[in-house]
Parts: sequence; C-alpha cells; structure tokens
Amino acid sequence: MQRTWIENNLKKTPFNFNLCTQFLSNPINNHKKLYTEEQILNTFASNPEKGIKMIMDTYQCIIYNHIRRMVISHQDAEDVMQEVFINIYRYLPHFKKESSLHTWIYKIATNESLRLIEKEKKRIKANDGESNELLLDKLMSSDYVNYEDELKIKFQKAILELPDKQRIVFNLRYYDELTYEEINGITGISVDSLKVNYHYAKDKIKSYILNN
Amino acid sequence: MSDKDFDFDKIGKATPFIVPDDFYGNMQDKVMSKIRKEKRRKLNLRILTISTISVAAMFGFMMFIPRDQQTSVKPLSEKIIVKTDNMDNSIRNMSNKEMDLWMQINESDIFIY
Repeated sequence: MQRTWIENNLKKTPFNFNLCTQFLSNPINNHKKLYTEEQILNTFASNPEKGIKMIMDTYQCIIYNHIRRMVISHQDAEDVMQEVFINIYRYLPHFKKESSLHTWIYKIATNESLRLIEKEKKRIKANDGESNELLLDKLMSSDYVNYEDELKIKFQKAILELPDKQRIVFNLRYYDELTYEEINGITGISVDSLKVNYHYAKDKIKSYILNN
Repeated sequence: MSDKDFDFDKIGKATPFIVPDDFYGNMQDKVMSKIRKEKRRKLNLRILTISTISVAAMFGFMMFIPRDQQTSVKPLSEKIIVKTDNMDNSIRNMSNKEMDLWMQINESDIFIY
C-alpha cells in the first residue's frame, strides 16, 4: 500500500494521525501540511484567522471522525464540527495550557457532541434507550454510510447499545488509541474507572455481536 | 461466529462512515465565513455601545450643570418694565416748568400720537 504524506511524516506529529487515513472507508487524500501545537499557538496569537486555519488543517479529520462516531449522522457531525471550530476560535485566547491543545480540542468536540445528543433527547422527550434507537435509525438510513460491510455495521450497532459516556470512552480508546490519561483529561473520569468502563464496553460489544 | 472466532483485530479500526467529496474544504470556508460574521457583529456592537455611552455621558453632564454657574440673562420684557418704571419716576419728579417744556417738545413728535 502506497504510503501517504501523513504516514511518511508520522513521527513529526504529537499524536497518532495515522488514524485519519486508515480508519475511514474512503481515505482522505487532500491533507494539507500539519503543524505542531507550538506553531499553531504562536501563529494564532499574532494572526487568529491564520491560526484557526492551521488548526482545521491539522485536526479536522480526526475531530470529524470522533464526532461522527458519536452523533452518527453526517449532517449532525457537520453542524457539531462547525460549532467546535468556532468555539476553538473564541476560547483559544483563554487556553491556559493545563492540558495539551490536542486534549483541549477533543474535550470541546466531545462536549459539543454530547450537547447535540442531549438536545435531541429533550426534543423527542426520550430516555437513554430511546435516544440510542434514534441514533440507530440514523445509522441505518444515512446516505453517507457504506452498508456493504455487514460486520462493521453490526459493530457500530453494538457500540450504540452502550450508554453515551461509555461509548465515548470506548471510541477514544479503541479508535483514537488515546491513553487513559488523555481520556481522563477529556472526560474527567478517573483512570481506574476508564479501564473498567472500557473492559465492560468490550464485553458488551462482543456479547451483542455473538448473539445477533 | 463463535466466542473463539471473535477478535477485535479482525473487525479493525475502519468505520462504515463515508465523507462527501470536498467536505473539509467546504467546512473550512463555512467556519471562516461564520467567524468573520461574528467579528463584524462584535465590532458593530462595540461601536454602538461606545456611542450610547458617549451620548448618555453628554446628556448626564448637561442635566447636572449647577444652576448658579449658569449666566443669568434677563428677558427683554423685564428690561422694558425696568425702563418704564424709571420713566414714571422721572416724570413724577419733574417740576411744573420742566413738565411744560417736555410737553412742548413732545407735541410735535409724530411717534407719540
């Protein structure tokens, strides 16, 4: 398999950007140059518009995937993603570097995704189970889902059976391959709870796939 | 599939989600457009706030200028009344001889009659 620019330059990035090209069903080939956190923050300080473009170039793919795995619908993911980058633009001047920029951006994306899901729940006056059914409907009726791989569809259905926070933990650990410490920075859940959550999530998913 | 056959590694990390062509390019354009719109709105709001504060400050200053610092200007009617009073006093204080002289002068004055 031909190595992409990203794979060739993987060592220069502070996180596993390899996820972006490998883990989509249609790999993205239009990646622009990637930037380090220091480059981004320095540029943003002097030229916020240029800075936010650098952030979008660097993070848009992985953030879209994270959001999409949470909200399922492409249209919802697009709306959430816009909101995420606008919030990054608004609040980056107040970023105190208590975490890495990468963790901070993931946190914003996670919170905005959860906000959308909560909003949908309130709109249809649903409980957690009914909300997951709504996401399942979106999964099975989307124009932007490849239904050819049945196992991958079943896997997504199994993940949707999980409660929202457990789903976040599973996605961040399984797909994004973040460390428990990084996930702790994003969710605020203790490392020990994260390990237990991830373990139970894997068991539930396995049980769903074997029984369906 | 049996328990033994199940393997997360076989499922892999790819999802069935598809992204439309040129999505990321369009996304950047939309985000930049919204950011610029927000910047313009904030600038307009700032200008409006400063203008409102300036007008309110001017109004407040005008309202609370102390009265004794204002220059007193007597209206014209008051001036006329004062002058008329003075005239009446002058006529009262005239002697009979002066009154006769004054009458002779004013008899030919076309503006009095």
